[in-house]
Amino acid sequence: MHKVVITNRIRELRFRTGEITQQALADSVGITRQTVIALERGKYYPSLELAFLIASTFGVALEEVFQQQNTSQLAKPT
Amino acid sequence: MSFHEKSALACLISIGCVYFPYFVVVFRFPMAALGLFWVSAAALVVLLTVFHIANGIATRSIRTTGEVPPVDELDQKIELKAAKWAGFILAFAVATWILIAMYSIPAIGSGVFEQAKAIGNEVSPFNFAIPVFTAMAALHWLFAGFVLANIAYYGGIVIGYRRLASA
Repeated sequence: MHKVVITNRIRELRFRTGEITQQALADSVGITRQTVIALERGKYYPSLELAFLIASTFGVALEEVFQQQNTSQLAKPT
Repeated sequence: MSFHEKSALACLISIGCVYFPYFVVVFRFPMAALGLFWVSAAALVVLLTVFHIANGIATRSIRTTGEVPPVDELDQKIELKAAKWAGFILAFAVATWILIAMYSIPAIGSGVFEQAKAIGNEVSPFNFAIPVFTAMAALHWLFAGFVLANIAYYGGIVIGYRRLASA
């Protein structure tokens, strides 16, 4: 079983794209500010739909916002 | 603290404030529930109304646009997790209630009828009565199960939000 850690550059992109506030980003993709905070802290992985929405808000490709950090091989069922 | 978290906390506190004293009284005096139920229901409605008005006043989006903040996918995930735990607790309460009912109610084959006949009493399944205190206590346990499930639900929501907020 693979454990996938996903990181994101939402905070960085917010500042690079006209210093969008967390509330403004939340309003533009239809989520709450609390969810934006959770995303930026890496405490919550968004759905594919939300991930695409966030990427399109910044006008970049999905993989420029979300990256797979590393994979570690855990106990493999035999 | 978001609107939804405060709302769940308000429900948790209200239910705790109303039903903790309620069950302390009715498990000691099962018949007290007949009048106390309506008092506790009214108290719960009043408390929830007060808490939600305060929450509405404290929430900026409601003050400015009159809109309740939307429920997004994270809120839904937290609610689903809380509902799962509440479901387990409710199932446990109902299962124990069924067991209590099975062992408390005399049934044919359990020896009750045979013992009654042995001492010369005429009995049939139709003239059996469950003691009202036992019946009320069982009923209170079932109701307590519903209340516990609600506490687990709102508590689970609050814990879910607190985990996200912690660093």
